Amino acid sequence: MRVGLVTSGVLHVVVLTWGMLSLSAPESFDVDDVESLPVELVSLAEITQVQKGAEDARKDGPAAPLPTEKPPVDEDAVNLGDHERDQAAPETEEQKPVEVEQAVLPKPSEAPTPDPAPRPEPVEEVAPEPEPDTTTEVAALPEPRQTVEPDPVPDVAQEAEPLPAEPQTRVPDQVPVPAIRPERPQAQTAKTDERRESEPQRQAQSTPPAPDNKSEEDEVAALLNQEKASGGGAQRTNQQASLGGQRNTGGSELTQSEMDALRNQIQACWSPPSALGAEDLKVSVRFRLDRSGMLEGRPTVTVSSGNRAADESARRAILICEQRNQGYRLPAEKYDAWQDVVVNFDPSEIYR
Amino acid sequence: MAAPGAELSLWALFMQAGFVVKLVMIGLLAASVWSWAVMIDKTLAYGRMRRAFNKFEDTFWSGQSLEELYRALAEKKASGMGALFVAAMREWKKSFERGAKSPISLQTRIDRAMDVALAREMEAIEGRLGFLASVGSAAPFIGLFGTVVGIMTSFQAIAGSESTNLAVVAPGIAEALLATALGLVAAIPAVIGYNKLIADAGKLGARMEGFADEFSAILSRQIDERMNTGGRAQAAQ
Repeated sequence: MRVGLVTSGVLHVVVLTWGMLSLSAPESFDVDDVESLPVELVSLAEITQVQKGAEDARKDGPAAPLPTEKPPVDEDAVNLGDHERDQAAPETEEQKPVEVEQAVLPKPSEAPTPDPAPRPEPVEEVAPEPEPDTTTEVAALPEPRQTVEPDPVPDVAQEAEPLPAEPQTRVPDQVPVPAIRPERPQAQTAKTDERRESEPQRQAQSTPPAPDNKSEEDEVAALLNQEKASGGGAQRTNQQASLGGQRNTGGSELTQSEMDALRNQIQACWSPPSALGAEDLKVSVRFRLDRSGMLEGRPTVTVSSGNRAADESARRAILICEQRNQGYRLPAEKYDAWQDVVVNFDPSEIYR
Repeated sequence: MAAPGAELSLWALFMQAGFVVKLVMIGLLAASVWSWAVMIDKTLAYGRMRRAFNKFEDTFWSGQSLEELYRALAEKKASGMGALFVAAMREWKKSFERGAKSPISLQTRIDRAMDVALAREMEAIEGRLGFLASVGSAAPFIGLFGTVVGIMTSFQAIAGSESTNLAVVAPGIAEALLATALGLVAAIPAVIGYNKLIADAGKLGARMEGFADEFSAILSRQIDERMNTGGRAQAAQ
């Protein structure tokens, strides 16, 4: 028994010593200071309202819409995009292939120009050599004075006038030169598109402009190459996009009091059906409004009560109300929320 | 109560624990030491016993005279199979020295003697295994008791400190849980060792019972032969 006890004791001592040496205090967790506010009050609008931004952006980023590529140009622009002018249609990523006819000026080198006629080569001037006269000498009359002047026999080549290599025209030192026409000053009136386009160009041009014929060509090409037809805005931003939707919806929900106001407007115009059991005649009417609060199209009954008179009374209420009030009075900035309205007419609330 | 951020090593946890928890831990540690001692001791003893059985069986079946074997074993206080053999031979000799009359009663007496010897041997073999069983079943509960007491005291301390910060709660609970850990550390080897040793002891016991039966058969044949020769001798007279 002693052997077992001693062995066991030694084993335990060894294990405990090892445990105390190696199993020291474990590393403590690194925990950031947590705000001790377990309950947060969130209004419904905070969840439903969406800010313009990118859908795949980080959630904790700064609030900013999608960045555009160009710096700000148009101060009054509303829609986002890379265009010079504000356009209502959204910018599409891909463009339908548009066949663009492009007029190109012929390159000057390609133009068939007639070769200039070869100029006659200048012939070397030959000094006229006095030909020794042998024929005219009369031997019989040896008159030393009667020496005949040797006639210079001109060559065929010598008949042609020796042309100079270059036409030497002397320009007079003082020639009347027409005064350089000054550039016509730009009329600073309403901005036209072309000028707006060319303005930043001109500012950027610090180097002398390209040769005349080339810029002309580019201009023509630029004028004809109007490929980008899709829409987009001219509002500029360079910030990182934050999480958000296609457009701002914040605050576009009607508040409870605004809904009550609309309800009161309609209720004042409504003459509810007075038949027996009219409490059950619930009607839903849907109508669209334009920005001025006027009806767009006719109101339609979406959920009928089954009673034709009740349906008609509800529809009539909508129409009468518009005429009586010259359009519905609703907050204009929340048009998104009330452009499509569904009203439930419930007579039981009136008869109660 | 430990201050927040106190050391959480094994020794620190033990020293921070309350009196009852400390007592439980020490008791569990002692139980672990003792159960390991029993396990080591028993394993060695069983090995020794198995070797002794093999040796005895070799000599027993070697054709050696049983009288000589008895004389050799009786002198040195044999154990195991040897003890069975000695008990049976002693009864046999005593009966014949006094002139046994009935062969059946002699057979019964020899069997009884071997049964008693077998029981005594089994008791020696299985002794202290009960402690392992007790540790295996009770140690987790003892550890749990220590934990419950430790957590109770630590919660009382938390109530006093008026802070529910986890850094205040954690050390007390950790030190309390150490008691359960110790209980499990003691219990798990004890249970495994108990099962292993009980199986070994059962094998040894079965082997001894087999030997006892065999030896009983041999003795019974001897008795019959002696009785027959005795009867024939009487008939001749």
